[in-house]
Amino acid sequence: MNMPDASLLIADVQRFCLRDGPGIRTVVFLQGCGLHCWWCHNPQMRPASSGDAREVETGALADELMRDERYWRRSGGGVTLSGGEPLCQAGGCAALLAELKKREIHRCVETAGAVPWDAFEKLVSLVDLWFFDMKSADADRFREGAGGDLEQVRTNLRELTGRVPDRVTIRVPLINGFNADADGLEALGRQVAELAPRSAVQILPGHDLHVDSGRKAAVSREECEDARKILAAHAPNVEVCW
Amino acid sequence: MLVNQLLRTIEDNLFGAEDGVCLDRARLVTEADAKFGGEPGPVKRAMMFRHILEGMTLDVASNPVFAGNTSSRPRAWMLRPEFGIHVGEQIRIEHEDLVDHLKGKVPEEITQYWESRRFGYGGIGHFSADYGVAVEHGLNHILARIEDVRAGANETQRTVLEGMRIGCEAMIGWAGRYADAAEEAASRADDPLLVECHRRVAAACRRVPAEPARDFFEGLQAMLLVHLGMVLEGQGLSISVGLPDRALERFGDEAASDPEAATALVRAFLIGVASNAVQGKGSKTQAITVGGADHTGTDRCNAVTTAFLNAFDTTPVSDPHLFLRWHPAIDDGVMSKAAAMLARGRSMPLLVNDEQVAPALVEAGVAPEDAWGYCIVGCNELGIPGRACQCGSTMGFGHQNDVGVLDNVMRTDAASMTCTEDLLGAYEKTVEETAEKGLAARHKQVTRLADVVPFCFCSALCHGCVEKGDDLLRAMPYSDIYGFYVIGTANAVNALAAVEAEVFGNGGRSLADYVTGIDEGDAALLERIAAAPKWGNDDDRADRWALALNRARDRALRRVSGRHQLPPFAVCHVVRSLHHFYGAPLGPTPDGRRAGEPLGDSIGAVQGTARNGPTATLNSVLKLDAKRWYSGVYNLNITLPAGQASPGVVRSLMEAFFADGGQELQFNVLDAERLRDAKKHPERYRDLVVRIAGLNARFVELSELEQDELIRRAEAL
Repeated sequence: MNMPDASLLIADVQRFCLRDGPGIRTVVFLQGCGLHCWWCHNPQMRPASSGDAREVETGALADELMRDERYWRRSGGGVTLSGGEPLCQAGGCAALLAELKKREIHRCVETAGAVPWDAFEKLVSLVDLWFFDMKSADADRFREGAGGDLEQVRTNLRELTGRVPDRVTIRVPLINGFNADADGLEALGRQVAELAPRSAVQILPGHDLHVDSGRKAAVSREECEDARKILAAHAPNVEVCW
Repeated sequence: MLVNQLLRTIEDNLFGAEDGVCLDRARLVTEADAKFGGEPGPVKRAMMFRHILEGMTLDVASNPVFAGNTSSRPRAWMLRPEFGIHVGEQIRIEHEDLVDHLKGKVPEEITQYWESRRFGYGGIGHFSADYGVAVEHGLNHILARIEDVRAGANETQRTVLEGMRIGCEAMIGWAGRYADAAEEAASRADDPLLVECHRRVAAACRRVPAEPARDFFEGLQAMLLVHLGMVLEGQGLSISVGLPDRALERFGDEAASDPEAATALVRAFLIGVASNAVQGKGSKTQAITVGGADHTGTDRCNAVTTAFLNAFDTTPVSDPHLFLRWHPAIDDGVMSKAAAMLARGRSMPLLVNDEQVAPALVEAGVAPEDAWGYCIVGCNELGIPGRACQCGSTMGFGHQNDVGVLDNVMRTDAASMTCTEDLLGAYEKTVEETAEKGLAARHKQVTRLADVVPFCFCSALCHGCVEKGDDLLRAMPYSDIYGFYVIGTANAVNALAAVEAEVFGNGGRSLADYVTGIDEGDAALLERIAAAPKWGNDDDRADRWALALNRARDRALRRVSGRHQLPPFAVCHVVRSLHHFYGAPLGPTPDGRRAGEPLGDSIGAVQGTARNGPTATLNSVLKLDAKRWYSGVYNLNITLPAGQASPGVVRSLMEAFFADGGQELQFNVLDAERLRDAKKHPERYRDLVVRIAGLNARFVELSELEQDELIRRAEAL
């Protein structure tokens, strides 16, 4: 993606979000992601460009977001960058986050971590809380299901938790036919314990909204509870986010 | 005493009661009218009142904890034939099963008697007496004041004072009848708990409301009798209970010493208020207001405030409905409790910001100590217990449908409109004409009501009435606060934004074409209108028209008030279910609303047009000058999905909104699946209370029209 650092290509801005970090938040969905998970919840945001996306100058975007400042301040909320993959536009994200930091706004970033570390480097001092996706502990499975390099993800997570150990929450999208099996989860738990020992873990149940016919990503409440039990043996604080 | 053990039964007696009709009051008032025909107006009305209290059936069984009923069985429709025998339009909308409720149930001698005699519109309600006087001093104190004033009064005043005397003495006699009935019930009861309840009621009714209440129980008993007495006198609709946590504040220590017992008593009291059957189960909008600061800035929350919150939390009444007055220093425990109730979907308390309402009343000429004693009277109208009723719908005038006015302007004078501001100019002219006409009608109405159907007992409990020997409508200290009623404002704003885009902006249509397109249901045009900026989304392209519309209305109203040398008129926005009432007969409107659809039910986004969530809606409303709505709070309803509404979220939204100038806020926390199930299995959802435009209602009792509207709203989340 070739965007000037003072701009971002955004797919959407959603206000009054309650599940993307603490308090009442505004979520900025960035256009573009290097992965192609078959269960993706926002597939329209995967391509690097889209007719529905808009390019915005980060200062103007910060002004627009600030309309909900009064609710963030009261609730301990703020802004969350999501997508797509925010780190695909790390320069612009850094500019936006720096602007928000200057205004003392709480900042979260949701990432799948499959980008060069350079991207993290630009943001690491600007983020209050990371939501880091840990989809699998199996490199082949990860490549097949998400199209990414697991080693890159692992390296980034290790580096990130080394730098900001208390600012990382692990998110596990629980996907039928991909990572919901006991063995896979056991391995995933061990990987989390190794790379992010102090992180809380949130299980995000998959759904079939954008899944091709013939495949099924959704999991049951029982499967989520089983997954929670497995992961809880490895991480201090595991919850299912329905 | 373990009142708790009885509460479930008392609630069942109310909520399980079949809809019926009670003819007691109708018979007695008819008899009395014939019997006392020759007496002067106030005396006759008072004697009719006394005749009702002396002859009506007393029900001490349905709610043995407190004395007080308006009909022989809970919720049996109590008639006021002197004002007409009919099921009102709004009740028809809210409860389709009540449409024919009175058909064939009222004896012909009663209907025929009133055919030519009825007073027409009257019994206007929407006020709160000063219950504190009744609790603290008792009616004998008022009787003594009446005697003091009588000597210096002229003939006209003396007849009113005589009416007040008869009214107060009738109330004391009524309490005595309850004491007798309760004693008799005690002698017949086997259950020791029931015996104790009846005896306590008997002892209290021998004392209150004649003498000052000595404890929390007597205070509540005095308030309930006074309240239901005013209903029976005929004032009827939306009489409100004022600020019970101030009227009963002296018993705060008692309530604090045993919070559970205090809550149980208030629950039984609420059932007593809910048993007001002036329109059967259609009775709505008896408001109870708690909390708030006084003019010194002191928070007035106390243990009675908490008892009322707890009672509303556990007893699923929809009428009365509860308002909580917020201010920055409000008791944290009270706020936490309120937020928890709202997050759980109780739809109460409704929240009002002292810092907007009280200063606006001061600006309108109300003394600070009175302004900070305001309460809600009715759906969302404002009053001051015993001091101001006329800032409510009582004497609201105008009743203007904003989008209807714009629609009319566009149809009659499309050719001369060259810009959106021209439309606003024509709107302004209409407001001025409507306000002038409304004001004249209002003056005529006040004179007629005060002279022909004065409410002497109600007046005796309001300030200034004894001293002036006059009815409350004329004699209360703040009888000159005028409220201009509007509805369809959000639709009007959307209409202006759409016309700006399609006609006077880049759209290139003529206004005449636009109107034709609306009338013919031109799909392409309607689609473009739907995509146009909409009020309630924090979008300045739409919101600027809200400011312009309000400025235009204000200019018109100021011209009228100035011309008549009156204080500036306030605005009151949409009450009860008027959005259906006005919407049903209305054709398609320039905001893209289709014929027959309801108008916006709140000052916020029109149903189905909030695209950016509740914070955006709140931000839009924050752009308005809230201090213009001191006739009634502006009625803002926010709907949240059940899964997302935590107490913290509710509280954050409310505090952020109020701290930055919001005036009033209601939360509906809805779950579409639950509502659908409740529609299918009403027996399982007795406790489900929801908020609609200007009223709270038990969902299972609503008409299909209202139920479906709420389900659609929940599904859109």
